[in-house]
Parts: sequence; structure tokens; C-alpha cells
Amino acid sequence: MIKLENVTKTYRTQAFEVNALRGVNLEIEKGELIAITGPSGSGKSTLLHIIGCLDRPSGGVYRFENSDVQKLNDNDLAAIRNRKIGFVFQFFGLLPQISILRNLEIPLMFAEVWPPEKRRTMIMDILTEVGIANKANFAAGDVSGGEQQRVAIARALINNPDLLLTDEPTGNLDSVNSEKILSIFRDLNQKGMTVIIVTHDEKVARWAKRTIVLKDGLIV
Amino acid sequence: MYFNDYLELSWGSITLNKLRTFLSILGIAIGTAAVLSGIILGIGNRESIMQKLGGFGVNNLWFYTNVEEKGIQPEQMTLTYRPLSITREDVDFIRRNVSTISEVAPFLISPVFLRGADGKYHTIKALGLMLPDSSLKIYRIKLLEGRFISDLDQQLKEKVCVIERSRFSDEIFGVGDPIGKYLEIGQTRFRVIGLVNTLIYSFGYPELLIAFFPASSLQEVVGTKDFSAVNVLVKNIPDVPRAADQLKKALIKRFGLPSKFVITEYSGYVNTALDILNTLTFSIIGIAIISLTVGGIGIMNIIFDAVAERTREIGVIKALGARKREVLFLFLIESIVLAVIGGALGVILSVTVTKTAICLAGLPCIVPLWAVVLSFSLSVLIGIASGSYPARRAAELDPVEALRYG
Repeated sequence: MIKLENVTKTYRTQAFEVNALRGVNLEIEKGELIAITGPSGSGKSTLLHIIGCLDRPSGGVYRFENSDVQKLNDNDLAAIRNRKIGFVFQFFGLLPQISILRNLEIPLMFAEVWPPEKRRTMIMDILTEVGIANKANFAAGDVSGGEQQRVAIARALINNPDLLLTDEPTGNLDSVNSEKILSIFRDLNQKGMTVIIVTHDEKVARWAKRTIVLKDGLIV
Repeated sequence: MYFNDYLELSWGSITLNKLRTFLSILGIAIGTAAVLSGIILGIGNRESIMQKLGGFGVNNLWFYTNVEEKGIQPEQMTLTYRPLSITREDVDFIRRNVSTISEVAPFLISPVFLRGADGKYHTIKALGLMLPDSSLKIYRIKLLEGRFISDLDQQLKEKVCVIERSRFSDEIFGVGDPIGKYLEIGQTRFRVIGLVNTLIYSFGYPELLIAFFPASSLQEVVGTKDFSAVNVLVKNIPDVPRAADQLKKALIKRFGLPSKFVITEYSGYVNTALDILNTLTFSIIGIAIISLTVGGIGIMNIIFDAVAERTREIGVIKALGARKREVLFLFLIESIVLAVIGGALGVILSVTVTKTAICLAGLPCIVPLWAVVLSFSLSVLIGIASGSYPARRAAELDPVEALRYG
């Protein structure tokens, strides 16, 4: 499903260059449950962004479902992000002032799901699944951290993606909420979804079926 | 993305941050109002100055029979007798053929002697009017009391007259209301039916009282069927030279002989007046450009800010699969909606507040449609143009960079 060959990523600032990734080789099969771990600045988030088609590699080849991402245009990448990949950002990345319902509706709008009634049904189904259907009309910023995390997961899943990418999903949660979130990921994985979790947390890393450790932009 | 969803999302973000929306709309409204108010004020001033210039007769032309080579000035009119034969049909012909004029009024002017209340004989300037209504407009006559001469008086050769209120009227009529009293000219008695303000036009001999008569009855008394000259009112001062030209052609068409009449401007100041008006027009354009720049920059700032404030949001929606075009349209629609609402409010603001203020200040308060259309469409255009750059920038934002922001 995912194949990285000697992928590099260099950020250029005015003063210096940062080699965030320095030649990553990685292959991930459909249905895997993977933790990516490593110290701060090791390139975890950069790798996640590249896998998630938010960013392009500076060098090397990245194949997502057999297509060379380097050769796809911005619209193709947007479509992949919209339909094939679900993102759960570190700080949830919700639009805090608007309702949970509308937060989930936006990716459906980009996917041109019509009519709005159909979107509503889909949203309520998924919110029920993550257990916060009763708060659908709350502003996303007005619910607790654990609930926001579940909204973020629901939004990532709304277009039924093949791949779920999460950045420090438990970083802002207590242990009870962390357990709940991880069990959601496990359920999804058991249903066949590929799940990649970037984490600092040793426990989460051990919990995953496979762990990839990054250091200084390389897999060790 | 479907069009409805664009509207839905744009409208959602417009209504979400009420303060930002309010400030944006306010900024655009003030910009629009500045442009429109500048124009309204400028036009009001120009119109007011035009009216004042009109008071000096700048927009008057007149023509009389060409007897000698040499032209005469209005001041000599009472002394010079130049019979001019003109009919109502001729007047109608001129009005039809000269588009730049609004009034045409033949008059007969003659000095007459009469016996006043003091028992002495006085000389006055008698003005016989073929078309009293047109004359009212041309001479800017304000009726103070009673009524003015009517078309019916003219048709029926009524023995009535209207006199100018001046220090001479007391000498002739004695103290008290002259209305209802009589002027005796030769054997004919004319009843005074109205009193008007002192005229700006003196027709020469400013010490002599002016009295208006129906042309028909004055002609009888004086013993003529002719007039002295024809006064023509030009609609707009800038058209005076063109009107003179059109009038000349119309007269040749009607009466043949090119040299039968002399056409002249009442005042020698038409060019000065045109200069003044041009200066004013330029200052109106200047005011409009300044207001437009100030308003336009305000609109730009506001829309730029709105995009900068939402960088992270843009990153999020791009991560969720928004294409460049979709981000671009979302922001464009937003700025169009804000610009249209702001522009409309600006027009309303300007028309109500500025217009009222100008009216109250006693200036002519005219709001031309073109100025409304111009200021509204300019602010909408500036809104869209200044929205399109930040919208484009938002569309081009790297999602990873945008997500890191804020």
C-alpha cells in the first residue's frame, strides 16, 4: 500500500537547511497497525506528512497505492487526502467555533456528497460510533479534550479512508481517555483499516503491532 | 464542491466572526460612502456655483434685429428701438430646434411716463412679456405679493401690471401696498396685480423702476406690433457656446438671411464661468480619487487581515482535501458578499447622511444615479480585486506550513 524508497526531505530556511528525512526506506501493507516513534526532531511528523500526501518528498520515491506521489498534481493529492486518507492532528485541528456537525460536514462537501440530508445521516452514524452523537450541535471548541479527539477521529473517518494517520493521538489525554481512543483504533484496524500512529508514548509504541523508530531522519 | 456548499461555508464564516464581519462591512461602507459623499458634495457645490453664475445671467443668450454693424449692450436697450417681428410659432420653432435651451422669451421694452401718487410724472421701464412664465424663469423673478402676469392676461390684452419693489415704488405709489392701485399711462389705466423682488437685470438706467405688462397690452399703448429682443435661457452654462451656434442655425432656417439677427451673450463672463466650472469638476474628480484610494486601501487591509487570521483554518481544510480552486472560491465569495453588503450600506449611508447634511446646508443636494452606480461598483470591484490576492495566497498555502501556524 505504501512504499518509500530513499525518501529525503529538506527544509530550507533563510539561514540554514534542515534535513528532516535523510533517506527513509519503508514499506507498509494494507491492514497494518504501526507506531512511529523517536525523539523530538527525529522527523516523525515530517514522515507522517509525506505519507499523508500533505507534503512531497525532496528526493526519493513515494508510492501510495502504486502511484508515484511526485508525479501527481495538487488536485490529485487533495483528492487522495479527502477520500483515501484520514488525518488526526496533534492538536485535533478542529475549527473550534463551528459545530461538530459542520466540522464533519466539510470533508463531505469537498467529496461532493449530496444532498445535505445524506451527509447528515453519515455524520450522525459516525458520531454514534465514536460515542458523541448527543453533542453534534456543540461548537467543537466547547467539548472536552477527549471528546474533541473523538470528533477529530470521526472527521478523519467520515469519507471511509483506507489509511488513518494520527499524530500524538494520546498526547493530550489522560490514561482513561487514551485507552478509549486506542481501542477505537484497534477496532478500526480489525475491520481492515491501515492505522499509523506517531507517538512519544512507550506504551502506545509497544501496543502497536509494528514499531518504527526514527532518529535524525533515519529509521533505526 | 457544489455551489450551494460554497455559499453555505462562506456565509457560515461571515456570520461566525461577527466583529470581523462588522468591521469589514463598516470599512467597505465607509470607503463607498467617502467616494459617493465626495461626489455629492462636489456636485452640490458645482450646482450651487452654477446657479449663482446663472444669477448673473451667464447662461442667457439674446438676439435682436441687426440694424447696424455695431453690437449693443443690454444697458442701451431702453434707448434703442429695434423692431423685431416674432410670433409664438417662431418661438416654438426655436425651442424645438435648439436642444440646449430651456426658455425663449421675446420682450418689448419701452420707457413710459406716468403720473404717480405724488402728482409728479415719472419715467419707468415698461417690459412687455409675450411669455410670462418663461420670463419668470429667465429673469429669476421672485413674486413677493399678489400674482404674476399670466398667459391669459397676454391673450386678453388685460390692462394689468406687476411692479418691482424698490425705493422708487414708494415715490410713485406712496406708502402702503401698491397692489390694487393703478398706473396711468396716457389714457390707459393699468391695475397693479403683483409685487416682485428687485431684478438683477437692469436693462439700463438702474434708477428707473421696472414694471411688467402683458406684451399685447403694452404694444397697444406704445403703438407697435413688434418686440425689442428675445431672451434665451441655456440649460447648462457649459453649453452656452454650443447653444449660440444652434440658435444661429435655427434662426437662419426659420428666417433665411444669416445677418438678420445679432446673437449675443448677456454676460461677457461665459469663459470665466466655464473656467470656474472646469476647476470645480477637476476638484470633484480629485476628491473622488482621494476618497476612492482611502476607501480602497481600507477595504484591502480588512480582507488581507481576514485571510492572515485564518491561516491555520486554511491548513486544516486543505488537509481535509480542499483543492486550491475551492479555497480560492471560498475566500472570493466571502469578499464579494462583504463588498456587496458594505457597498450597499455605504450608498445608503451617503445618500441619507451626506445628502441630508448638504440639503440642510442649503446647497443643491443632487445624487446622480451614475455616482451611485460608480461608487458602488468601484467598491465591489476593489473588494473583489483586493480579495483575490489574499484568496490566491490562501489557495497556494502549503498545508503543512499553514497547520503549523497559530
